[in-house]
Amino acid sequence: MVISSIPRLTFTEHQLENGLRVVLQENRRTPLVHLSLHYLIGSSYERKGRSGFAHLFEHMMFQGSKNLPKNEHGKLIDGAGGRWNASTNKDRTNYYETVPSHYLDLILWLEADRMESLKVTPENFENQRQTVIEEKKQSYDNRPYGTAFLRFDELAYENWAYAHSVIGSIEDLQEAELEHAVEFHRKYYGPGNATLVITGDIVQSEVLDKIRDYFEGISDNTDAQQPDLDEPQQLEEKLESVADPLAVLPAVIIGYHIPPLGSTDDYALAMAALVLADGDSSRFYRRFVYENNWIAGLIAGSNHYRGPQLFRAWFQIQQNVPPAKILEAMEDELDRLKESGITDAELEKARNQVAHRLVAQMERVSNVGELLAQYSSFFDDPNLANRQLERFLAVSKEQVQLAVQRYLLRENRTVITVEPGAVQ
Amino acid sequence: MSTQPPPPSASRNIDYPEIPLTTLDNGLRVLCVEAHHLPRITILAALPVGRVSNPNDNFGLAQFTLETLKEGTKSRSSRVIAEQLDQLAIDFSADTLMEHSLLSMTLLESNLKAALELFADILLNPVFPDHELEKVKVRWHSHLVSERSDPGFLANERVFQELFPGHPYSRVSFSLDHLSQLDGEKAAHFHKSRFTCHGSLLLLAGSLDLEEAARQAGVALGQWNAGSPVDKDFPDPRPLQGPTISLVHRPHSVQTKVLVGLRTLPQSHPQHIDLQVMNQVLGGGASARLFLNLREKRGFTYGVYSSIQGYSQDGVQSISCSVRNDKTGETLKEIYREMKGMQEHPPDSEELDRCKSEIVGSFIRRMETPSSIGSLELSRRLRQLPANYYRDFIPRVNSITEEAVSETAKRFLRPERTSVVVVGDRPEIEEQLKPFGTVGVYDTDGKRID
Repeated sequence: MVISSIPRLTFTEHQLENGLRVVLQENRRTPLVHLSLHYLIGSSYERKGRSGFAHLFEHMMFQGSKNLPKNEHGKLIDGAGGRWNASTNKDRTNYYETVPSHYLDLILWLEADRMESLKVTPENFENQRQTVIEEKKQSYDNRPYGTAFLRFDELAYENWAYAHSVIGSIEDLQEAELEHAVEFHRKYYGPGNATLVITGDIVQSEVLDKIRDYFEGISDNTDAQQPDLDEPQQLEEKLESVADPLAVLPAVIIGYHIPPLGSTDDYALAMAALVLADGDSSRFYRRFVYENNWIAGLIAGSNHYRGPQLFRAWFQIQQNVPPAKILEAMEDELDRLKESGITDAELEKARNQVAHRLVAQMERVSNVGELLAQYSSFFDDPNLANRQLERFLAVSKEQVQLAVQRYLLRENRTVITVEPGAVQ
Repeated sequence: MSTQPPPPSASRNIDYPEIPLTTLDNGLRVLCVEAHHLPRITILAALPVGRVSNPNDNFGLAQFTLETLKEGTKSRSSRVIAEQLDQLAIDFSADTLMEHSLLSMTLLESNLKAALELFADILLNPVFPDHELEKVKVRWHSHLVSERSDPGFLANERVFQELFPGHPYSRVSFSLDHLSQLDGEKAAHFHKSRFTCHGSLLLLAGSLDLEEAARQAGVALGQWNAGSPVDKDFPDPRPLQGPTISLVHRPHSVQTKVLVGLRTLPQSHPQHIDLQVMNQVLGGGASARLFLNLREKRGFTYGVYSSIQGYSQDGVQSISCSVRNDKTGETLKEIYREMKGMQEHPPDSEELDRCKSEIVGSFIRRMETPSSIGSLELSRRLRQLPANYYRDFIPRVNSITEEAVSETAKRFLRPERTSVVVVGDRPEIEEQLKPFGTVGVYDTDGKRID
């Protein structure tokens, strides 16, 4: 039996005269409030020679404004007992805070303050450049398989917008200049390019008045150009091998071009990923791990890009098992799915897993806030958060089979094989 | 808009809830955190069996036993269990901690009965079939090999061996040799003697009440062996004769992992809250002294944090960061300087208030979900903290003074309580360590090479 409905999120939507989109969702169970502010600016908006700038700029947003010195933003939220951070991906940058609800005014003021004014010194800019270079080393260069992961999109995508990494190249980071940051702030960090979501212990009508007080006076000077994300159709398999002295086991990363986030086929392929690779009873796990012990780990699914996505699979391979064997066996499993589709039991299992995950997503005001912010800023429709289950349940066995037949094709894939050099 | 940050409005109180407990006939204590807003339930069993419970000739047995429970029961094969877990969309996990083990399932409310029956079957009736366990051992072999490529693991393993030489607290992982000696018979024996109701707790958190929880737990786990008290596994750890400095040579590292470990206090110690506040001032977050110095002032690292862990006999404070190779020595110097600074320059009231608020805020966020409230309560009971520990937590944190923080720093942030471990490319960093004392050099297998 599959659960056919889950609790709905009730929220209101508003837009200020300066263009700021606002979504408010009340949940007074715990005295916590979450703020999520999405700006439509990610690494795909960068131009050549400025890779990594959107993310470096995210660091600048904590380095001072007209009314606050460097680091004061974080100190004030910490002093309120809050949690704060930000993240940049290919499509957007988000800033967020979760605080005890009596500090709502503080976080609204803080976000309005840095949306309106940025004030970074050359010294602070230089400091964060060094910090980001260390972040790149910690997250990729000093980590097994990290280099291969950075290389993957470069090889798979022809369009530079998605091909280059969010963290950027060291060369480009070294060349970044403070003046670019001032222009970047004007261009992207205004109300017309932003979505503000407040969830949790609020009274909706009161909060809207507060938001007007803090944000309505900020004029919009943004002129963000949406990046061209078009990706030419891939006609031939792309293969590369990467030597990794930090890895001790071989690995293979495979990516197939698939349609954007939220498309009908995206949902069908998400169901395919559950059947193939999620849980110890999934097809890949059962054959590659349980029956044969060929691999030590696997992950599969889409990369969650707003534009053209990849359906990626990552296999960490046991010593002495040739990567070619894994690719062959994977092809074999995909052929089986293309020919015979999935079973009723597999469909039901995937539906149950989806339903449980969607319920789990509603437990914390922070997760609900991020969900509404993403649907609002990418699709201008936060109500899509309530339609997720319906869209997953609408996927038929045939749609899963057709999507796999259509996209998970050899000529449409990129493969990187990681060859380890033992750390000895 | 004002140029000054606005003040807070009136705060809403948050109370740590009463968490009812009932005891089944076999002695199993059942806790329930009731919350009906979402149709979701967590089942969590905590057993008084941890890494310290391992026999001296095999440090992997406790973990092996716990993690192979699902490889087959008297009535279900490994495959059937995997199929049912996925079909019921159960998030299943099994974790072996220092002094406890946790077995948990999270699921949709409608699957509770089936899930609890499966949970009990796995916990009570495992058969540890060797043909399945041999397959598990192949997977664990790769895991044990690949964890040695992770600088964080290497640093942690070394620091615990330096802080607790020869003591069970030093056991972070186990060897390939230990793995090769594990089998179904050993697991079955360990399970029979140690996986009992005695000292165990069962939490049910989510959309059900205590009566329902007790009824369902009684049906599923009423036959669980009551067990009897087990002698304490290990002696109290001896005082550390520090400082020690170790270098783990990890060739090709483009960055150095630095970990400074300090011996502190058991979590049940009355001064543990002072320690939490002291830790917060030193390195608990992005506004703390270490972060503002090493990242925001010097740009040596992406982040540096200090954290504390408490055990029944002792505790550990860990200061950790990944830094530029050429700044390894300078980083250590700055960490020592900040440790000393904690003794000489107590926090002013603004800094102290901020740090207390961070601890209180983090506590409030744990009040958001029934499973995280339940986990707090489980941990309180496992660590034998007073009944009012969490009820009084916020006022107790708020009562800590500047003097208490500086006294705590004077007591704990001392070189003789310290073990320093750096993991990186030896030729790049060894010279930088010399001013700090004699350096023991290890390879990634944990063998001393110099």
